[in-house]
Order: sequence, then structure tokens, then C-alpha cells
Amino acid sequence: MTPLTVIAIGVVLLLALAGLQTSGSIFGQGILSAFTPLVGIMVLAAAGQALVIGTGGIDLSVPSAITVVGIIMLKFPDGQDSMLAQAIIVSLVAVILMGLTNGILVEIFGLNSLVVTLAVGMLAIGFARLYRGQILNVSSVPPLLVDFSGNNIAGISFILIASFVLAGLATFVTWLTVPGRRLVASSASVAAGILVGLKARFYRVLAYVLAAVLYGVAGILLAGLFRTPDLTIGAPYLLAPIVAVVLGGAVLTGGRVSFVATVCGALFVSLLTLNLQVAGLTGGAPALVQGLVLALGLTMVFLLRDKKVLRSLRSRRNAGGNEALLQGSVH
Amino acid sequence: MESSTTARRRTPRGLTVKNLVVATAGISAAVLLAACGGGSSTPSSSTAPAPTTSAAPAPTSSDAPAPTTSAAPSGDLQAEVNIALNTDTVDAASLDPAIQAALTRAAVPLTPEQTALAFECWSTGDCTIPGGGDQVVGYISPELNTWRKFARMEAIIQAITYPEVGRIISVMPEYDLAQMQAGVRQLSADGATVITGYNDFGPALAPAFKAAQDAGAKVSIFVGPSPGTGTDSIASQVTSDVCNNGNLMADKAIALLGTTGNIAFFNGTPGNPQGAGWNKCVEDTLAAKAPGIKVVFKADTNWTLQGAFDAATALLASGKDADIIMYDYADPMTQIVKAYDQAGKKIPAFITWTSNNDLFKDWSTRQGTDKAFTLVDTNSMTWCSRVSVSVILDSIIGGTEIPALVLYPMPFIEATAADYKADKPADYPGLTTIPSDLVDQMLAAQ
Repeated sequence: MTPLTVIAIGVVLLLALAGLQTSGSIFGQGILSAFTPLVGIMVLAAAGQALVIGTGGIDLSVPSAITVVGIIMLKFPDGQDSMLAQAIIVSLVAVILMGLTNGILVEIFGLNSLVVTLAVGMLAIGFARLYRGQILNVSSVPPLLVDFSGNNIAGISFILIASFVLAGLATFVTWLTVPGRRLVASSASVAAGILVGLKARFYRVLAYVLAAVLYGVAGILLAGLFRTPDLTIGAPYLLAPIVAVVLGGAVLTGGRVSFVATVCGALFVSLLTLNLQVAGLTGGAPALVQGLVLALGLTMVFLLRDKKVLRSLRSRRNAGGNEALLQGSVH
Repeated sequence: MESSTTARRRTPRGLTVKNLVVATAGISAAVLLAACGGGSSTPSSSTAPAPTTSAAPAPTSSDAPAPTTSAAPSGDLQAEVNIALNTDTVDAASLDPAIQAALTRAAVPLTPEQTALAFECWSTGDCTIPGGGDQVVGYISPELNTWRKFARMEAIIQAITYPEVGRIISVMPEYDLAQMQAGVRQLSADGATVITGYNDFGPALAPAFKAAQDAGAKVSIFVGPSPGTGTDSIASQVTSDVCNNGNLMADKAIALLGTTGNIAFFNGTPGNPQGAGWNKCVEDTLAAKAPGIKVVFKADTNWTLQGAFDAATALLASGKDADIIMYDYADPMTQIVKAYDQAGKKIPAFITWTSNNDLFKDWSTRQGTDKAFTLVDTNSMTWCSRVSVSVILDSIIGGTEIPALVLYPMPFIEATAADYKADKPADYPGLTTIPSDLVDQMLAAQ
């Protein structure tokens, strides 16, 4: 059994539970169309985070990137559809700059990814607030974006479909194309990458940039969904995407990351939140249940992913036992 | 291609560069923080004249002498109360004397000089008032939204009506307890004699406030209460009676539903005492007056857009048809509308604290259609910061006793067509006691 199998089973179980809780209404077109957009955003954020975690880093600039894009999408086009394309380009340039800065500082200068991404995120938010000004006299992002983000096919949001397409594309690229495989190889081990002749550092910086693009896309779509994004728009995406990636079986020290498993992890996190809310849990109860479920899930993933650890623990215990026996015989 | 030798050679050189990068990043961050943090640490001298007197209408000349007295000015109190509370159903005489005093002062029109000065103080975050006295008013709150910006302006306007005030400092930290504590310490170090602000962190901020009071300042917070905090930490709290608000919400629900129906509660951060307070009182009142009306759903939203959207989705998925959604913050309710629209469901009635222009827009554009919904909200409450400023300054200057608790009423009002301001931004908080020309200036300051 692999981590992917475990998380997929977890998703199926949570879906079944949601079906029971809601008497099946969760699968109705209406509820799906309200639920699936934010799942799509979570998938995009988690897919970006997966790229960074694959290099052994963690990206804490996700909320900032999403918020920055939200501010740009609201202010730059001034509600005009004709300015939408330019706003998207400006947004993507902004997040690419963020990703590039993160990547260079972490991979070229060898700084700690937690500190760098947090600092870059704060700088970006500072600039964005200066750009936003005291009071933003704009009421909505362009209607075209609002329409796209709110649309669905049979209840499945365009946002979720777009995120699945991007995750599928990422899987294809990383498994079946030469640059993708070089990216994965360089992410897994910079030293090994360099030894086999890859521009490992370039690819590792690229991972940060591609991740930032995914956050940017998430921010653009989220801005469309909420119509008037505010400064809190990125806040829910600090830790949840990391949890989704790790639940998908990723190792925090780096290595190959499965985007399919990451999608499952994002679905799991989103469904768990929904289930707890439908159950009417408030106050500390949801955090308690979430913590328990996630700790259990992560333990299972850890144990399945690295059976060597179990063997090692077992052999260490045996060695300890033998040592004790030896000591006992001396005395 | 990159050789392993090159990679190895980079290590020592990288360390040197790393140090440089860290140092540069630190300096950049400090500069940026200074620029973005409200500029509160770098006073900018105001060239605008000081308010010349806090009593009579100010003179028209900007070089008029500074006042020597601060007798309370008086305007049309009832008219000001009607604006503040967004209703004419509350008798001004029934209000707490501290509110009456503050709004009486607020009712006096500002002079052009005072308007210019207020705008400068609000824009720069730190202004010295030429000819002003030795009182330093410090304002602290994370500037998360337009509501907070308006509340800060109300406090600034109130402060400049006192000729004894010589400097107004605003600190706008991130939404973070440690930064708020640092902000309070900063105000204290800057010599603030009055510290006012919106306290997001309840009693957790009390030690910082206590240290500031021990250093000579007086602290007053508004709207968000700090339960169980003594006057040695917070001299005065201007807030509403949370339980009474719950009772009023329940009464509105009964008026809308009659004897039966379903209600959903949307709260802010998990376990916040405000939510727990009004939730219980709504339930108690309903149990006593209309036991057929049931609370069928509760959810936490963290007072964010996504939180409200998630909670509305969960409510829809639960299949519990709510006739009314009750909430204590109007801004994120547009996302409830959005979630119901996405699901193609009829939007229930909303009963909420505060008001929001985007929500008014959603409400007004649906009137006369099958998507119309009922909206019951309150006044914006931005004016409460004025009371916070006045209770302390009146005590310092006039010797009045500082009331530990000032309770303001919060009438719940059904939305009307006049509530939506098409020329105002989405998160415009609603009717305010800030003069309209100053509001226009604020909105133009992008």
C-alpha cells in the first residue's frame, strides 16, 4: 500500500461521510458548484507548494502571493474587462518576481527557505499595500473574471477543472518530458544533479518560479470568485497546502512529489473542513478533530513511505535488548 | 553544466555573500517597515494650523492664536446621534453622558483648517499640531480595511477639536499580537498621554496596555471589548451590551419569522467571547419568546471572505434550510450571497452587526426580483472611536471621571434604498459622522 492509496482511501471515506451527513446533497449540482471552486484553489496552492517541497524547501509566501495578486486584479483593471489581460500579465510578473527572489536567495545564496519565503512575502505585501493606497475605490474585479470563476459544468467549478488540468499537465511534464525529469532529478538532490551534468541550481530556482505562477493563477481565480478581494484573501493558504502535500506522501527533505497524490491531499483537507462544519462543530472542536485526523494520516503516510524506518527502529530495539542481555550477563 | 568543483568552491564565497544579503535584506526590511508601518516613528511636522479653540467655531484665519480654554463645543446632538446610529428612533438624552459629550463635540462643523489638518494626520500617520498643547493622542489598530481607516479618522477629528492636543500618532501594525504589543510600547515611548484603538486581541493585550498606563498614558478601546480586564490596564471600554444585542437580534428574528423558523449563527474567530455572548442571548430570548424558532447551524468564519463562503457552503450542504443567518460582521456577508447564488438557492434573511456598501449593493440590485432578500443591519460604529478619545481627554483636561465602561445602543434597522451609495467603494462602512468633504478626500487618496 502506497501513500497515494492511503490518501485516496481517506478521500473516499470523507466523501462517503459527507454523503451521509448531507443525505447525498453534497453530490447535487448546486452544492458542488459552491464547494468545488475553493477545492480548486487549494489544489493549485498545494501543487505549487509541492514543487517547492520537492526541493526540500517550504514556501511561506503563498498567502502573500495570493493577496498581492488579489490587490492587482482589483486595482489595475479598474473593473474593466478590456484591462483583464494586462492585469493577468502584471499579476503573473509580480508573482514570478517573488518566486525568482525566493529561488535565488534559497538556492544560490543558500539561505533558509522558511526565512526567505516569509521575508519575501512580507516585502511583497508591503509593496502591494503601498500600491493599493489608503482606500481602494474599486468595487469589483472585471466581470469577465467573475463570470469565469463562478461558472461550472454539471456543478464542477471551472476553477477545479482548471486546477485538475494544471495538475495533470504537471504530472505529464515531470514524468514524461526531459526538462521535467531534470527538474525532478535536480529537486531530489542538488549534488547528484550536478554530478550527472544538470544545471541543478537553475532547475531548483525554476521550481520556485513555477510554484509562484501556480499561486498567481490561484490568486487570479480566487479574486474572480470573491469579486472584491481584500487583504485577508490569502490567509487560509499558509499551512493547509503544506498539509495537503505531506498527506500526499511528500518528504519534507525533498524528492519526487506526486501531483496526483497532492490533489488527493488537497481534496482531503477541503473535505475534512466541510465535514466538520456540516457537523456543526465550532470553537476548539474542529481544530482538535483536524489535528487528530491529520496526525493520524501523516503517521500512516510516514510509516508506509519509509518502511526502512520501521525496520531500523525494530533492529535498534533488538540491539538494545541484546545489549541489555549482555550487560545483565556481566553483572 | 555545473561541476562539483565549482559547487564546492561556492561554499566559502557564498557565506560572505550570504552575510551581505542578510544585512541588505535587514536594512531593506527596516526601511520598508518604516515606510509601511504608518510612519509613526518619524514625526512629520504639520504645516496646517492648530485648531484654535475647542469651544466656539474656529476662526477663519490660520494664524489665529492658540486657545487657552477647552470648554466643550456644542452642536445639534440629536442630529448627530441620528447620523451615528443611522436611525431617528433613539433619544439622545437616553444615551450614556460620555456619548452625549463626545457627539455634542462631534456635531460642531470643522473649519477648513481643521479638515486639512485631519486629512494630513490621517495620511501621514503622525502629525504635530502647531500651537497645540502637550497632549499626545496615540491610535493603534491593524488597518485591515476601510472600516478601520474611517474609525481612525473619526478619532483624529475628535482629537483635533481639543486645543490641548499637540500631536496625533497612528500605529497600524500587522494583525498580530506581538506587533500590537510592540505598537503599544512604541506609542508609550513616543509620549502618548492618550492611547485608543480597536483591540483585536482582548485581554491578551492587557499587559502591554498596563505598562503604557504605568508609564503615564490612559487607555481607552472601542467596539471590541476586553472582558475581565481591569481599569489598571484599560481605563475605559466603549462597547455595546453584547447580550442585549443578542436580545435585539432575537426580537428582529421573531418580527420577521413569527413563531417558527430556522436560524444559523455565523461567528468570527473560534471561541471569541463576543460570538459566544450574543449566541447565548439570542437562544435564551428565542426559548422564552418563540420556542418554535430553532438555531439549526453554527459555524466559525474567522471574519474572512473565505470563512464566510466556506460556512455558507457547509450550511447549504447540511440541508438545514435557514430562514435567517445572524452574523456580527457585515463585510464577509457578500460571500454568503455568492455561495447561495452559486448553489442556486434562495438567500435567507440576514441580521448582522455593522454595515457594508457591497452588501447594500447586493441587496438593492435584487429588490423586486425573485432573488430579493431581507437585510437588517446596524450603524457602522466607526463613530465609537470619538467617544474613546473624548472620555480620556475630558478627564485629563476637564477633570471628569473616566467611565470604565461606556455602553452604546445598537439598534437593528432594515436596509432601505438610501443605504446603498453607488459612488462609494465596496467596503465603505456606511453612514459616518466624518464630514462628507473629508470622506471624499479620503476616498480620493489612493
